[in-house]
Amino acid sequence: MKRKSTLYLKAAILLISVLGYGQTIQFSVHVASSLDASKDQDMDFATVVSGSGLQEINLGDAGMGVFAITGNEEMDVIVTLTPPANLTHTGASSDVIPFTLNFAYANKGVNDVNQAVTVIGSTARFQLKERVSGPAGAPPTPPSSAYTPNQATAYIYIFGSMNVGVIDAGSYSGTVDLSVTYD
Amino acid sequence: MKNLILFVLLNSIILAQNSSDVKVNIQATVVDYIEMITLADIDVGTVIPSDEFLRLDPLSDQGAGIIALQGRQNASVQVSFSAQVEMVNVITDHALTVNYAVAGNGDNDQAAASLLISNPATVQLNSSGEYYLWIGCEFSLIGLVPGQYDGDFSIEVDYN
Repeated sequence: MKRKSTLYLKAAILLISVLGYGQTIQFSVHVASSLDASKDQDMDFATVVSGSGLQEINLGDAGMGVFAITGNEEMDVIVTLTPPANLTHTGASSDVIPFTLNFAYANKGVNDVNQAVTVIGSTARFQLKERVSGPAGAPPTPPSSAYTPNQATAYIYIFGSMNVGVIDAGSYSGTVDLSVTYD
Repeated sequence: MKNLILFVLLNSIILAQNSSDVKVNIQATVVDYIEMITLADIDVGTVIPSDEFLRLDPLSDQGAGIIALQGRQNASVQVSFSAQVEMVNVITDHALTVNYAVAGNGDNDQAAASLLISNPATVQLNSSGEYYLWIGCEFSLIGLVPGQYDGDFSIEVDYN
């Protein structure tokens, strides 16, 4: 079967050679601009007392976590955060701290919580750089050798609360996963 | 024979990513709750100059200082205190050496308390997370200059 296919191919090439003519194929690839996310700051509740109940880090507090997202300023992005249900003891204890996540984004090109928009839920879709005139009318120009779009950085602020019951002393931790993609 | 010519023009080859994933860590340090509440200061009463020695028994004297510990239920706690403190007459600067003794009990019952022999000592909070300390003292009155003496007695507690 495999050998038979090879014979057909040789025959085709021979036929074309006999006909003989020049041909140009224009091959163009549109590759989206790169999209980079990085962590600027971890989230830190600092030291709390066992049994102290609800502990909060609010938007703008020193302990909030910060992500930076850099990419094509003309594009929209979809950001999805996956928080842990609990912070877990880093040692042998099985005690946990229930955790609730909130987040906000600032997409005006500067790292400023006063410009942040609080998100309801765990997913947000927004313009990487807010367009003052509102939503774009036409699709953004694809990057090419003749056109390089400007880059912009948006900031994601992670804050939230945890409920500290009567639990073992020690260090507790968790991880928030951020996934960002062009819309 | 004419040759077939294929031109493939690759306008752009750009290695780029259009999605990204990153993680942020959440950190919290939890410490055990413990609090000391002074229920009564030490009261040595009136000192009679003819006496040679003053002793305030932490197990029986009503003038003993009282401190309540409040923390985690049934927790083991380490108590350390100043066994000896040099006090100073605020006018004459004469020194007065005061030796302290501490007794403790899980219940607020001085008569049933036990003297803390070691320093630091390990005690256990009761089922309500409480423990009581009585602080007594003793010092020599021989050659003591009348007046007010100041000094700091410190007591520290921590979970084991």
